[in-house]
Amino acid sequence: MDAIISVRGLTHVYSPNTPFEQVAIKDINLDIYKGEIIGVIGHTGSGKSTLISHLNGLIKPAAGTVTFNGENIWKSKEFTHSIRFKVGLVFQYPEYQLFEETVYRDIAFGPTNMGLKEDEIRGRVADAIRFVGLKPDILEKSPFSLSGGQKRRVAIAGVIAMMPDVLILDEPTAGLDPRGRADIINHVKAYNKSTGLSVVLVTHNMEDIAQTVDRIIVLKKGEIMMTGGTSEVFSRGKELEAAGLAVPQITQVANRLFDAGLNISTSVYTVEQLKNELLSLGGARK
Amino acid sequence: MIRDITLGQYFPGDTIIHRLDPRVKITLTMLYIIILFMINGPIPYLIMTVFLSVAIYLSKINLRLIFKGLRPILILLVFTTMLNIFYTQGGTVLLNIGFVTVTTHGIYMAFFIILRLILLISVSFVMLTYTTSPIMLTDGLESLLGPFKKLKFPAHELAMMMTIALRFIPTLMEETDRIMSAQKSRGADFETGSILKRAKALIPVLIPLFIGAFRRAEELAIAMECRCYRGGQGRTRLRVLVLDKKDYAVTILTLAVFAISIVMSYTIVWGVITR
Ligand SMILES: Nc1ncnc2c1ncn2[C@@H]1O[C@H](COP(=O)(O)OP(=O)(O)OP(=O)(O)O)[C@@H](O)[C@H]1O
Ligand SMILES: [Mg+2]
Repeated sequence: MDAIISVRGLTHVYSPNTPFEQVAIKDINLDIYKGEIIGVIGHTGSGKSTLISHLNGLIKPAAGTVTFNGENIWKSKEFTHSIRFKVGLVFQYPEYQLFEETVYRDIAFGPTNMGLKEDEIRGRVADAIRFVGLKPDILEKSPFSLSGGQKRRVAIAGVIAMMPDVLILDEPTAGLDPRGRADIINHVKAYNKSTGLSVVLVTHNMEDIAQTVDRIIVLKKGEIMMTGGTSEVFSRGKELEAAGLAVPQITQVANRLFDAGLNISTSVYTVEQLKNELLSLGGARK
Repeated sequence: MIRDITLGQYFPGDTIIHRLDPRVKITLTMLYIIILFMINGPIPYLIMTVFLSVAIYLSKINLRLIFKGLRPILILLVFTTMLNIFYTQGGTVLLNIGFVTVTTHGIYMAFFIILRLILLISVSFVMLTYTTSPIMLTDGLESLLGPFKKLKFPAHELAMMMTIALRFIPTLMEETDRIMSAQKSRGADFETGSILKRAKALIPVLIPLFIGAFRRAEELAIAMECRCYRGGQGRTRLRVLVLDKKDYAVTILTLAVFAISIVMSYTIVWGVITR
């Protein structure tokens, strides 16, 4: 299968030729396929945000290419502009980008820029608000009168309303309570199931990753340090810790049990998996 | 990107220029600029140029940065050159086409005016913006303006306001960058269309920016109040500015150079020109 987004040899340097020169990402290769959920993790400053800003053409690569369905996203100005609607990017703390008088108009900002008709926009806004789990009566309120979590969801709805092929979320759960966190993650998962779009989830939260993604990319100092299936990556807990990351709590529990002498796999990352592992220890149950 | 603006940017370092007391730097820079307008003739200008070059060399500031700082006044430079070349008469006529007469004296004048402008801008960049941290700069200003407090001049408040403003410029720029990216991600277009359309496209950036700025101001006010900030009265400082040997040495040396330039401008140099 062909990748929707392909990244080859991507490098980016901030403030080149000044004392502040900073290599943010270095020689990144990456493919994103249709329908999958990818997790991107990495210590703070490892280049996650920089990487994803390349995927919808916000930053022009200093070296390397980004292609969408095989076409270089920088081939023409119009194409780069149109990519923004196909690759929806939700920024870190997106609630600070709200600006309209009503929630409705804020969510409609993207679709309006796409040049859609009024009816179509109305339908999309209604769908988007439902997908992020908000009630329609919020649409006429001012976005500034909402709570932090609600604002966050409105901002995500603003991107979903563009119906992108790829949805990229930069730390969508940062600063939310456990409930708000689970809500957003579950809605993203459900949205991925129902529409078959690809999702890139950037986060510091290993529990989010464990519950959601099919595949993980680990960044360290601007380079891909590790990539693979969820259990594969989480089974390498020691290396993750060296990179300033952790494994999910349940994996930590499994590791402790393993160290204590139980013969179980340490690549589990959900409660269910650990339960099965423990049960499969065979006859051990009394 | 917006962040690449060099104007008013500090480049950290640990050279003698960086370590000089900000009061010395401010005073000497102002003096340097005044002297630039008092001197005449090639040799004093040469002295002043060499003097600044040594300072640049000592500060380890990349020459390219200085050119970058000069770029905004490029048009002004070209314009002044033109005016001086075409409108100053005297000396030997080099070129004469219709109205346009270019004389040696015109070129001579143009050259020195340009040099003066370049020196003026570069000295403030090298001595103040590039090598003095904004905090030191405002501390220095407050201290220099201190005597005026007796005349009810709000030196401390002014310095505090400047510190806060300077502190938030990079933050606000970063924020502008971020909000612009976020709106671009939703298809906002800041680059094409008529001026009116582009101005309108900025609304989605300006509103969140202002809201953010107000939120920050409020948070900062609360944070300051929590630490019992009540203005300058009786407030002690973490960094007390003290002049040490190198500050005195640099000041004396600089004043000597300035004096020589002035003396030469009004004595020997006239002889050279009129000869
Ligand atoms: N606009 C910018 N100008 C200069 N340097 C930058 C800029 N943005 C990021 N950097 C630098 O690039 C590096 C990567 O930053 P990036 O924001 O991509 O990290 P991140 O992995 O998203 O971190 P976090 O988890 O804190 O969001 C950092 O060292 C950062 O200081
Ligand atoms: Mg980030």
